Amino acid sequence: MKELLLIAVCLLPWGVMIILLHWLSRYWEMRKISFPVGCKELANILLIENGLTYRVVCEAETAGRCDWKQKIIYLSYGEDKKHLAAVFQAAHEVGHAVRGPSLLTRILPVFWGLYLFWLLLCFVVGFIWVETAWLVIALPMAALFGIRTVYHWYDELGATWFARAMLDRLTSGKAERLAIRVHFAAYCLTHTVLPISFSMALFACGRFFWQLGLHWGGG
Amino acid sequence: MLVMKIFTVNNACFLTALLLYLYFRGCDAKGMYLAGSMVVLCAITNGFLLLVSLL
Repeated sequence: MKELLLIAVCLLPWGVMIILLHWLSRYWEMRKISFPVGCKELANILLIENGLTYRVVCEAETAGRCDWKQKIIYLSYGEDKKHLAAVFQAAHEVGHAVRGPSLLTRILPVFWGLYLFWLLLCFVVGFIWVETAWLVIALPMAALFGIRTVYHWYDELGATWFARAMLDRLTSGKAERLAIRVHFAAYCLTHTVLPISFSMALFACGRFFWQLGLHWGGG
Repeated sequence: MLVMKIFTVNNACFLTALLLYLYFRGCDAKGMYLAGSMVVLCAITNGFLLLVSLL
């Protein structure tokens, strides 16, 4: 009985993985749907609708990006591409243009400056070897990471929501709408998890510097 | 304790990123780039945590 239970427990993750892969492949096929307009045309229509004068550059070397200073929207697909990923990216970047640069984008050099100073502080505090001292310097930085994460959510999820709303207007088909919803959910999940893993990597780096100081200081 | 918490959350992020990467693969360049970045970031975090536990 115990052996059977053990085998069942071992097989469970595989079963879950197979179900997830089946689910993914189902929606993977769904992403290949086409829209009536190309990504450049859609971006231009949305820009005009919102009274913006941005230049749209297709097949850019970078991933899709909105440059507020130069007033350029970079798209990574060809201008006549009509598949879901291309039009979704176009609408998403226009969403960024409509919302304008966030406060975090403007103070990004300050954030990195503070972070580098914090790393140095972690290293120095390691020499002192007091866990409370680590907490005193770690908590404000954790709060800053928290603010950065929330800003990222607000900024990216807002642009993603804009993209979904705009694409929903383009089509009335049931399959297309479902595909938009799934793609929207995937982007929301990406933009929710990305700042968390980013903050954790930076935070773990600080902890490493503290441990390094501790090690060298002989604490 | 804190390291263990970061480790657990990090691995949950890693699994999510992997699934997202599989979804975006071959279709969405930006999605692939973002999900791939997440996988790399999680690997970096795990590397730091490993070094922290070794020191």
